[in-house]
Amino acid sequence: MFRVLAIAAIIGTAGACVLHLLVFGPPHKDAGGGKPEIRRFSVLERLAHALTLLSFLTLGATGFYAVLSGWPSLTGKLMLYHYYAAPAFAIGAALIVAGWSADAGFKPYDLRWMIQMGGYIWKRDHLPAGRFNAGQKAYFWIVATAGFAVILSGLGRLWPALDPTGQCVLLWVHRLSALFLVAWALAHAYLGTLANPGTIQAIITGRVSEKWAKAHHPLWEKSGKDKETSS
Amino acid sequence: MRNKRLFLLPCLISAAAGLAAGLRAAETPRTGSRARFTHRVSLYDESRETIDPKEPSETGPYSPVGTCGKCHDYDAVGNGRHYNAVDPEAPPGRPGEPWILTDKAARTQIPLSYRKWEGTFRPGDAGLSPWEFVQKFGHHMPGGGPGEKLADGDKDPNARWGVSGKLTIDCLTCHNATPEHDQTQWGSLIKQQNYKWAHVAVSGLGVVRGSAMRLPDDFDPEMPEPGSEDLVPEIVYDQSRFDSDGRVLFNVQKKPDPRRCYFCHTVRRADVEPVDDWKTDGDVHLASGMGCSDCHANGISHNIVRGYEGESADLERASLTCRGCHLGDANQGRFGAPRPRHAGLPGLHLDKLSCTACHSGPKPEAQTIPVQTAMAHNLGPSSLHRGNDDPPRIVQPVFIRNADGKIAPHRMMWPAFWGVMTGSGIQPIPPAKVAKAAGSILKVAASEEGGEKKAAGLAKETVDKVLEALAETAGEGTAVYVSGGCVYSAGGKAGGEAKPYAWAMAHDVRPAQQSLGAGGCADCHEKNSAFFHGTVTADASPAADKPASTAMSAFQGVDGELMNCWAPALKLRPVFTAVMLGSLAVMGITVLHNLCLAIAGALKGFETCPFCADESEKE
Repeated sequence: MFRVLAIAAIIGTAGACVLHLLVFGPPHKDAGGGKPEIRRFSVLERLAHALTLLSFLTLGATGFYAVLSGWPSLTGKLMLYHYYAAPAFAIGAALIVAGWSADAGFKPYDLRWMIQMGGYIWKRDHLPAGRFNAGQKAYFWIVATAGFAVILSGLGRLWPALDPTGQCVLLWVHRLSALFLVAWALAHAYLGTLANPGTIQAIITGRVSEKWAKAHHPLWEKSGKDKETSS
Repeated sequence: MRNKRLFLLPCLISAAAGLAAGLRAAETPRTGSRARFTHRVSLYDESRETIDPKEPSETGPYSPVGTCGKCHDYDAVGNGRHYNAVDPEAPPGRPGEPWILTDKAARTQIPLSYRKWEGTFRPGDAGLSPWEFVQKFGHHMPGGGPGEKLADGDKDPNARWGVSGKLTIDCLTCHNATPEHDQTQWGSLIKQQNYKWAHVAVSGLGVVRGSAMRLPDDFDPEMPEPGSEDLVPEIVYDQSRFDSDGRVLFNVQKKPDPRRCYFCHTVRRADVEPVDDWKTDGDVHLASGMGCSDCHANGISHNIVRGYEGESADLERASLTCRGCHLGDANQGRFGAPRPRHAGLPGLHLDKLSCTACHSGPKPEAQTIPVQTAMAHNLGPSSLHRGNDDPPRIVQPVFIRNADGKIAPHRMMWPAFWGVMTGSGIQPIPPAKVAKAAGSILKVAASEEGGEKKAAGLAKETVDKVLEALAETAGEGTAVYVSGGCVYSAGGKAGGEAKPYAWAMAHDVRPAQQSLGAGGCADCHEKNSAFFHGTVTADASPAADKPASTAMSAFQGVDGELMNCWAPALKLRPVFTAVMLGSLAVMGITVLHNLCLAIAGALKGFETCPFCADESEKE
């Protein structure tokens, strides 16, 4: 049953992304490029993101390979990789949640971004957005909550104190929260690459162009908190 | 019209059979009570003639067919698990302990079974007629089966069924509760071909004097040749067992005493002295007062529950498995079986391991343990000549996969025999033929190597000599020797491998505190743990100086090195746990903190319209 659910969720999310790209396309096509002169993410933030990304890819690949292959349970080498990647993901997720929560608090102007759906359906320029826009904030809290659930249930599997029924419940919590994360991560990957050209460099180099900042995060760009020239 | 007749005929036959069964059921007396029935009964011979204990020669010997079968459905019992191996329609079930044809001189140990268990040979394939089979293994057979059902069709010219009588089921082998029952006599009575007299002596109802072996082949009990009457075994009934009406009080029990079962189902370690058996408690179920037949239950059909998972879809039978009693959804908790929590055990273990893997038999050791079984080593009769090295060589516990893919402890043996290899496989050459063709070669080899008991691998030269001597027997095939898991032909390996034969073991069940894993993950997951890396040593083979050893992981189909990787991983588990708990704490506090801020903000309310005010001011 979970296998079907997983296939539906993954294909559904990926399909929705492709459909959006084909039908609506990127909302800020011209925002890419430009000289990366504004520092957006610190080294620690990028390392935390990279750690989370790599461990999440390992966990997702190993876990869902077993699910999609119809294995009754995760086993063998994949289990070992899964086992070692779990604490890395926990550390990365904790660093991200602790580091970005201050900028992820919802503000009144986020309501407008939400109502306008971030301009992804109906093109709108200059939607209000601080360091993170309302969509990113929502994603942040989803990751924080589902990440908490997936780590807690994983810990329960790692150190099982419950009886088989309880462990079965934990397994389902683990699976569903992981699937939820995977589906959102797919959308996050799409939004960070194809849907918003020039975005991915922010998490790689830590810097963005002024044009990009103005288009995506006008309030943050205006406040100029972290603005510095590339020189 | 003809079609109608054809249709009616089976209907009529079925109806007649049903009527007969109904009448028989109606004829069977029933007490309708759960109280124990006092079996004070007359003795009957096979033809239901009442036996006068003072004139035993007037009738045939006491017969369970005539005596027990008077009230109990003997035919139904005869199709029970202990007796139906020869019935081709009987489901073979999970491979069990085979009969092992052992011949020290011919270096032979062949697993035999009338059931179609993969890896065993049919007795006929090893050259054993039903008569020879009973002579060879009757010492631990409860009668019936080949000793009864195959007697009439036995084409062995040396068979003497007409003299010995059929070896019918001895009900008292299992059900006799009197200490006078002496099962150890059974084997010697069979050796003496006193099949139809055996029931009297074993049950303690009397003694049997003489041996049917002395009777001529053509002896006819109805018309004995002059002089031969005196050679017929004589029965002297114990008069003290009979009351004034010539009846006997049978101290029988419906549920056999486990010690009765142990006569055939004993397994002993062959590496320690049996005097030390007080150091273990045996099976936890027996220690708690249960009996074998509580789980291995049956009705009059004697279709005994074997108790492994998947044996039967029938709910009542399935409830008598480990899982059925302890974890089952329906009928669970039979006999007050506690429901284990398995707290601390990652769930995949229940998917990958049978219950017995952790709870049954001896714990795994670096080397498998040699054992002897009652059936294979004729345990039971006292002997001064029994040795720990006596073949066949059986080892335990070998943790390998069941047919359902779950790892379970098994006993294992390596077939060893001389055979003829053809395109369709290898056919064993009966040890007698080997002895005839190459007995002298083997005898010399045995004396040079320190005796037959050594059971070490034969030297290559000896194997070659024997194979050369057997070449004529091979005909169009190739004479080969199977040993130590390999197949050899003259001059070297013939190629291919001979798989060991293994059968699952489920006893003795240890208490939960002594189960594998009770000591933590390291019980199985420490580096080079016995569970995965314990070595299973094959019998010595001609190709190697020493017997080949195989890690259990190879039999299990798991990557031994990968299992070793779990050792450090599990040692890091506390560290990983601390890391993850710390991360959870950070995430939890952060989420809660921001939730509180959000609630406080919501309570404060929006002071200005989020759509009209200046964006920077709102921020």
